[in-house]
Amino acid sequence: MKSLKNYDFSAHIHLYSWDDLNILLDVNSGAIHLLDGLSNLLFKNIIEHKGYIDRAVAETEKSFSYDDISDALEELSRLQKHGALFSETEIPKVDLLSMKVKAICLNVAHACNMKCEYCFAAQGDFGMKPALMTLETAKQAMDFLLENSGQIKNLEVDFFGGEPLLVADMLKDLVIFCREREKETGKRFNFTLTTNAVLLEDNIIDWVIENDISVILSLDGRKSTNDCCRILNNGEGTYDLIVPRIQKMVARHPISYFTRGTFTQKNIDFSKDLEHLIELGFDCISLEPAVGPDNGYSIQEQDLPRVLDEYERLTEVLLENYIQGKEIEFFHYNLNLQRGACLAKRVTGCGAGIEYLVVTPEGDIYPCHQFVGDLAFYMGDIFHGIKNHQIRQDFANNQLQDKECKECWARYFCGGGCHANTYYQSMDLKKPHQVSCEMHKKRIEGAIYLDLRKQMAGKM
Amino acid sequence: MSKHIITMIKPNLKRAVQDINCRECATSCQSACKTSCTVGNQSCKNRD
Repeated sequence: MKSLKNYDFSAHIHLYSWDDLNILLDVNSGAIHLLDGLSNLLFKNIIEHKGYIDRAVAETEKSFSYDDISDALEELSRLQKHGALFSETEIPKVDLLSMKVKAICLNVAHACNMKCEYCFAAQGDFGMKPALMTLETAKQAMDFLLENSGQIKNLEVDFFGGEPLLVADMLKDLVIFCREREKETGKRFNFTLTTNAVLLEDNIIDWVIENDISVILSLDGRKSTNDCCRILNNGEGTYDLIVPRIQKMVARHPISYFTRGTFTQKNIDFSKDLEHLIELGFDCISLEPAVGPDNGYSIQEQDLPRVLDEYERLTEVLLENYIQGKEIEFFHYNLNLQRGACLAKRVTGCGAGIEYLVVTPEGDIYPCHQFVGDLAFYMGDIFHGIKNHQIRQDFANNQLQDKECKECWARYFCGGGCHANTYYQSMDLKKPHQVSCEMHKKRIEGAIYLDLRKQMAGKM
Repeated sequence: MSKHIITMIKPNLKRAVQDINCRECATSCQSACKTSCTVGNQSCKNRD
């Protein structure tokens, strides 16, 4: 067996137990193994004794026979030989500055027909002058994307805001325009509509279906949870108005959909919101933490123990539903463990400021939706192109390998995390937001556990 | 035959140079999540 004396176990191996499963992630290969009691103890001892196998064996012999330990060591050696264990880091070189634009978050409305208490966009206008995007600007944004996308075929456009359905007629014309441009260019636009569903009327539902538009439908869960934060401009809760509309939309089987909720300090029992959304008939669900500086809503360090426990309850809910024959896609647990993205993608993260940009109603460009309105991150506009190349450079220099993240076991799942979470917590792009990291790690552990449980049930 | 360690997910991250960095898979924030980076959720278009 190859020597492990200089192996960085904390960076390259993640060993944890969830319920009665002992799970080992070999970080660099992506392989995941289930361990019995003996091999789990042996691994713990190998890590504890910093790779000195003889000492680990001696320690393990206090609980198991030498013959059994020897068998386990042979298995371990075989896995190492096949690149499934104790693998080394091999980071592909990716030239970010030569990378093309592939996705645009199109902020078509800096205005909203709701005033959610926790809104990161300052009730829709991002702290700027309220504005709606014109068709001409939207077309120009699409041409900007086409011209800057190089050889990439699959382009992505998210109709976002504020509330994008405030300009529904413009969006309908824009999609017609884009489908024509697809024929001319051979490219493919994949559209997503992120909406609060207040204006999700029958004609909009028809349009979504006829045009293969993915939808993200905002709904926080139980009526009490939703109406605590998601309110109309007159202060009324939206639950009774939007739930029938969202159900109607989902019943038409859009190409892809998620109901998307936010949990806050006020509903840390969010597994109950998950259960409620399942009871409403939804099977593609996302619930995300409110993050950022403490505003009475965003999850803080002191909330973490309860939030992490809640993810365990949520995992149980998902497993129970699965056992009963109901497959629920919980967005953050939707890891693609065997056929996921390549390392080049994983080490470059979300691509904000490089391959992912946001365009405002006026045509201004920022690195992503979270930076809109912060003039320090203004990059240029779609009419004249990128002016501030330093921002692009700053994001290119803020990848996984440039941060302490390169030594974290979860690095290939989060790609170094969200630039904005990091920046607005510490005003430093390179310092990871620990609260977000802890929640993300717990979700990864839960998702892997659930995946293995499903495999063991033999139904995958 | 493994008695103690069962491989549930095979090694999958180390790939040939020609099989990586096509940038055709989805951008993580064009999804149901716009508050954390979810590259681990994306499917490889070359492996679909």
